Order: sequence, then C-alpha cells, then structure tokens
Amino acid sequence: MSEPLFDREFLRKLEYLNLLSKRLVFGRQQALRQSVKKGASLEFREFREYVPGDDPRSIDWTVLARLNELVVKLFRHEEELHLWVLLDASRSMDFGEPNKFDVARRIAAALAYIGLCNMDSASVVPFSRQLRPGLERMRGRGRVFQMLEHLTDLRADDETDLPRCAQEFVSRVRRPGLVVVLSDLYGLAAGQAALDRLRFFRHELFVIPLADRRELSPELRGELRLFDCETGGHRDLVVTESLLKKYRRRVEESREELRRYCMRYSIGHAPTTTDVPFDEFLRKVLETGGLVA
Amino acid sequence: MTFLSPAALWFALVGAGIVALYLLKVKRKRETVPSLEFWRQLLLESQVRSLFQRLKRWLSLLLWLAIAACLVLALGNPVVTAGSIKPETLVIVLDNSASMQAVEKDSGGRTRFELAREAIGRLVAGRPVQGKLMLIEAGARPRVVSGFQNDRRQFLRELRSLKPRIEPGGLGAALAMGRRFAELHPDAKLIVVSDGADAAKPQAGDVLHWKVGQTRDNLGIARIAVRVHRQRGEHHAFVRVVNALAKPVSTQLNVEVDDVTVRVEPLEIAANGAWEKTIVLQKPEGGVLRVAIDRDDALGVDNEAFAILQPIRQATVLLVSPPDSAPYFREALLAMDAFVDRQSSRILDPADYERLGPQRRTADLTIFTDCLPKGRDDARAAVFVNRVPESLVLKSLGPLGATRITAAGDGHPLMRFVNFSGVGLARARQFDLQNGTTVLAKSPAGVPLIFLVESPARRALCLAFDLLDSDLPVRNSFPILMRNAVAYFGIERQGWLPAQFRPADFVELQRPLPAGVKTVTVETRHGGAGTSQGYPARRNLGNGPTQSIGAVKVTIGDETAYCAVNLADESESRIAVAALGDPAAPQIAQSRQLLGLLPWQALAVLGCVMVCLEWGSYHARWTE
Repeated sequence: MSEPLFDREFLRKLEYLNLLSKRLVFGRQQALRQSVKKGASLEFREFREYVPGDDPRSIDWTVLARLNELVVKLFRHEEELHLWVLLDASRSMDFGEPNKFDVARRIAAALAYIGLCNMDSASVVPFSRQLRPGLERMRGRGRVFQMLEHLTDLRADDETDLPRCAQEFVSRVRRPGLVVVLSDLYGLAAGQAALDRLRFFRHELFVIPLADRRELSPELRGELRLFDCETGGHRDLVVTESLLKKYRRRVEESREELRRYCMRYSIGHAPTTTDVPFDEFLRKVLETGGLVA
Repeated sequence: MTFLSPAALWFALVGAGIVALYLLKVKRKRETVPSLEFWRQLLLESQVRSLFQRLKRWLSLLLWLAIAACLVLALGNPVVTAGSIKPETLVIVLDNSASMQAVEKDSGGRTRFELAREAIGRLVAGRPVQGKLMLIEAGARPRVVSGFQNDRRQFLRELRSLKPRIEPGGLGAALAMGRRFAELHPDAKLIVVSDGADAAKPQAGDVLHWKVGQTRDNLGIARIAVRVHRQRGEHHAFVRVVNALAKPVSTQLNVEVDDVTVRVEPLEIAANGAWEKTIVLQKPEGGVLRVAIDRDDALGVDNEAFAILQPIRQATVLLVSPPDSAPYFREALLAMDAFVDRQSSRILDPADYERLGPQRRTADLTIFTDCLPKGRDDARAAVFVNRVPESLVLKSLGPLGATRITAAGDGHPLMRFVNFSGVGLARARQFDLQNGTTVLAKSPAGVPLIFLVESPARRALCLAFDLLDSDLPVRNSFPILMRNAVAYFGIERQGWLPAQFRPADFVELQRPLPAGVKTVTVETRHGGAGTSQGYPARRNLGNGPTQSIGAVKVTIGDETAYCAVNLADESESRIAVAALGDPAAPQIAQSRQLLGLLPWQALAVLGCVMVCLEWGSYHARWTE
C-alpha cells in the first residue's frame, strides 16, 4: 500500500511553513497589499479636482468654502487578498519518481494552508482540458482537512489546455487575486497565452514550473517508441547522444524563455524539480519573498 | 580476379541476414514520456531533410552490405590477375649459368645474376601471403633451392644463399623439372628469370620470361682442343672464338705454354661471327697451354681457356717370339714407327727374354707369340698370341678348331678401326674366363677369341687362336690391332682424368686406383686450393679447384696428372639476351601496378572506413 499523500509529517511541515510565512512574508506583505485603486477606506490618500461623474459625496466642502474650488477627497482602497492555486491535473503530471503530481499536490496544499492562515481566502482549482471542480474561496483553518481530502482524491487525468482554462478562470473570477500556476508548462506558447490572459485581468501571478529530472535529462538510448502519457500518441526514434544534447538544449531554452517572460512582466517564477522536497522549495520561495510580487 | 580462399565466400550469406534484419520491423523498446512536445520539435527540424531521412535508411543498408562484401572478399583473399599471371603459386627458375655472370655496366656494374636475384626479391615482395613459391636453380644440372613454401623470409634467405656458378646452361632440364612441380598445383605459373643465353632455348608458351641483361659486349673462347702430331713432334691446338657483338671486333689472342707467351694471334671477328684457327706448337715435352683474349668485356670467364699438352714420346716394345714367327710383327711395328722407339725396341727369342732380367720392366709393351714367360712375369703390359697363361683364365676348355671371328668390343680403344670381316682363324681354343675380363672378339658361336685382362698390376691382351695359320696377319686389321695395342698399353695410356672438362661436369677417375692408394688430391696447377678426397667413397671430383677455369693437378699415389677446366660453351659466350617465352616483366609490372596494396588489405581498410561511415551515419540517423 502506498504511503498517504498528506501524513502527520506533512502537517507538521505545514505548521512550520505557516509560521515562517507569518514572519517573513505576509507580515510585511500585508501593508503592501493596499490597492492602488482609490476607494472608501478610512485612510486618506490625496485630493483631486472634481470632474463630472465623481461622487458628490466625496467633495471636500471645507476646501470649497475656503478656496471656492471643487476638489474631491480620495481614500485608499483596501481589497481582500485571495489566493488561487491553479493545479495542473493533466496526465502529463502523472510522471516521474517521486511522482510529479504528488509533489504538485503537496505544494498546492501547503500554499493553500498558508493562504487560509494568512489571507482572506484560498482556493485550489485543478485543471486539465478545463477547470475541474475544486475548493474555492475557502476561509479559515477549519477548511484545511477538507482541502487535503479533496487533493488526496484528485486524480491526474485528461490533456492540458491552459489557455482555455485561463479564459474560464478569468470569466469566473473577476476580482484580482494572487494566482499560483502549478504546472509542468509543456507548450510554452500556450502557457504564455494563458498567463497573458490572467495578467490582463490584473491577477498577481506566480508560476511554478515543475519538472522531473528525467524530463530535463532523459536517460534514453537506442531505437525507441516514445509514448506521450498525456495524449497517448507515439513517435519512433533512434535516440543518440547528439539527439539528447539537442533535446536538453531545447528544454533549457524553453525554461530560459519562460524565465525571461516572467521577469519582463514581473511574474513570480520559481522552477523546481520533483527531487527537491516541497517544504525546502517553499521555504526558499518564502525567504526570497518571491511569492508575492 | 582469383580468390585464394574461396571457401570464405560462403560468408556472403551474412548479406542475406543483413537484408532480412532491415526488412523485418525491429521491435522497438517502449518508453513513456510526459510529453512529446520537445521531441516533436526536434523531429520537425529533421523533416526538412525528409528525403534524405528516407534515403539514410537505405544508405545504411547499402553501407552494411558493402561492409559485409568488403570483409567477405577480404577473407576470400582476392588477387588481381593481370594477363596470364596467376601468382598464387609461382615456380621460379633462376638461370645460374656462366652467361649470368656478365657484368651490366648500365646497371651499376652488377652481374646479371645479381639483377636476377633482385628481380625475384621484388617479385616475391608483391605476392600474397598465401602464395606458394618455389625456386629452381638452372645450372648445368637443375637443383631445387627452395621447395613450395609461403615463408617469404626463408625463401629470400635461400635465394641469397645462391652462389654464382661458371657452368653451361641447363634451362631445358630446369624447366622440365619446374613443369613437373607446377603440375602439382593447377594454378601454378612458371617464371624463368634468365638472359636466355642457353643452348636449349626453350620456347614453351606456358613459361613467362623475366629477361635480365642488355649488354652484348663479349668475346669468348668457345672451343679449345689439342691433338698430337707424333711424326713431327708437334701439338696442334684448335681454338674457336665467337663475337656476341653486333659489330666487328679487332683484338688479339695470347698463346702461352707454361706461363710463357709463345704466340700472339691477331683477331678480326665479324659481327656475330666466329674466328677459328689451329695453332701449331712445337712443345714435344708438353706443358699447360693457355689462350687468352686480350680484351676487357662483360663476361671474363670465357676470355681464357686451358689445355694440357701431353709429352710426345715413343713406346718401347719387346717382341718375344720364336724366329719363324717374328716377321709379321716386325712389319707391323715398322708400320707404326711414329709410335715405336726403334732404338729401345727389340726382338727376342724366349731364352734371351729370360736373360734380360729387370730390364724387362722398362718395356711399355711385351708381345709373346707361341711362347710364355717362365717363372714370374714382370711385364706390365703384354700381348699373348697362340698361347694364353693359365693365370689369366680359369681353365682351358679345349680346342675349338677353325672358325670365323667377329668384333665384340665396339668402341674399345683396342678395337678402333679394326675390321674382322672375312677373317678365318685356325686352331682356336676355348677358355673359361675370369670375371672382369673384357671380350673384344668372339666366334659366331660366342666363344671368346680376343680378350683383355686388366688389373692394377698387370694388363694383358690374349689372342686365343693360331695367328700364323690364320688370315689375320695378312689383313690390314692386324697392324692396326698392334698399333692400338702399343698406343693403349704404352704411349696413349688412358689418363686418370679426362684431358678437359667443364666446371659442372661429373668427374671421376678413368682408371682403377693402384693397390694401397686411398686418397686423390686435386689442386690448382701451381698448388693451393687443393682438396683431398677419399676415393672411391665420393667418385665425383668435380668440385673445389675444378669449379674454376684453369689447369688442375691430380695426384694419385706417386703419379701426377694434369687436366684443364674450361667453360668453352658458345651459347654461354653469346650473351645477347634472347626471349624464352612470353615476356613476364610487363605482366608482372601491370599486376603490381593494379595491385598497389594487396587487395585483401585494401578491402579490409575500405571495410573499416565504411564501418566508420556507418557509425557516423548511425549518430546522424536519429529519427526514422
């Protein structure tokens, strides 16, 4: 019988990460989470000349009385901080040793737990060809076990269609939040299209490309029939050392291109591999402050 | 093209296996990957060369078939055969006659023999490893120097061990021997390396001739012979000199006796012509004659020749006879005055002969007619007429009566020019002869009538009939028979060795050794280079000093004899190169030019190169 995905040790690590996050990230980040939008909070931000359409209730009558000018008083807008973990649950994630999907679920669970503890709400939304039923807008630590149970029951299935899922996501979630995309991100063009869509809707993005070592540097030789575990298709190849070199170079170029894309648009980017323990990975992410841009 | 190991061609079946492997779909190993995205991109790059991709598979098949073909052919050990050269097995006949000692000035002063050895060395160096080689030396007698073998080093060692010989050629016998050996190998080829200067001049079509030599610059003494003119006390030396050049030559011939020049003969010889002359020498005391051509040419060994001038003397004959029988013999002896010394020869009755005492041994020949010596007979050589001593025969078988006589010893010196036709004999007698007795004449019934008894101590001619009552004394045959007896027993006694022979001749003593003599010493005339040989353990004396041109001295007991060793072979002196068969050099050269590198090595290298190509192709062929 296989080991449970979320055992006691995992929960202990979650607590540790939660404490770490309070001290390193969210304690500082909360002050920064003030929206640039002008809103109706109690904190004054600035004055501005009145333009038709402004809420008459925001006119500063005192200024009008003193200076005979119409100015409106603007206050800082405060928003709820939502964490969305988009978890790739396609068949391509069911690969590697340790299993890529298991590692992804552990990372997703850890992020959601931290979100539940520190933010207004947290959601874990699996996706493959389309968004699959998930746990959305969970609030409070009491939802942790429900979330873990849901992730445990989750299976990697179907093919990936990230742009479609992104479109579906932005159509359902109008309010911007912190969106963590946890996927192997095969098909960089499609991935970038999806990220563009999310970015367009002003979501804060954090991308975690997850890969197995054998994906980066496969140990394949000879005349092979390669099966795509996601689509079921195959290709017959004679894998030689020169071909492997080209493959590794191509993978490296793809990852580098994603990194440059994320840097250009200030998207959080933390690639990892399955042989890195999830808690170590998250601790490093939290320490570098990269989780929230 | 010929395959030396045709059985290896069965490995060509491997090609069918290779084709089968390419035609059959090889079951590929299955591997699962999370995505074919990157692999697909790499495939797209390669599809730009899709035609080449398809061709690569067939190119690979062709390469493997070519590799297999190269290796199978290399195992088969092919040999390119140019013309009629089939060099798997070569029977090489190397001419080692005297003409091969001719110096080729255009080839750095090397002799034809040296050039021939170098040619064979080059020929052997280009042969396949499995190719068998045989070397036959063609001297006066053919000799297998190296049997069939494929050890080239050993072959070359044996080739280098050959020494040049001064012998008349024997190419015909050597080629016959070579053919017999070549018949043992169906693929064998006979190559003769020679200048073609051979009397036999074989023209067989199955022989390839590798010519060596170019020069024709030679004058040679082709013949020398000496005869005695007893009446004048002279020696007549016949000399023949030949000119191998295609232009006239003027020079001189030096004639020496005992190292003293006695005459100089001018030589004017036409192109390819000959000069002959009989030179009269007034040397009755005898000596060693040397004639030499005063010219430096390509072949030196035929520029001089030797002959032995035997001393000219007359025999002392004692005629022991009753007075009534003597006239016939007196007339016979008078008829050969050149042979008989009248001063010392005497006619005696039996009583006077007995009184003569030790002087009896000084006579060269003693003729007894109608009488026999009493007591111990001291005569070294005797003729017995009418009566035969009992010591010379086993026993008397009684009278035979009148009969006819026929010659039985044809070719014997005693019977030279003797004709018994029509001669009737009276009172013949029969004897039971000892073993070793030579019968010279007999009756029609086969009864010996004239016979010769020879032993180291004594020789005797016996006439077993009544001479005076027979027809023989009135026939010409009688004085001729007496003359032959005087010559045979006296002045022309057979020498120990032939007066003249050639270096390679089989030489044996012509007379039985005297009692007690076990050793024969042969040395050059002035001493040195001598060899003492046990005799008759080795009957052939034809080695040592007799292998070079000159006069040799033979010592047997207290006797000494001289003889001459000469090349004296016109075919060897005419050193112009002649064709003996198909010219081999162009075909062998063409073969070597075609071969360059031995085919099996070239094929092996080509196979390795193609393996490297296939290895590179394999790495480039990363998609189907």
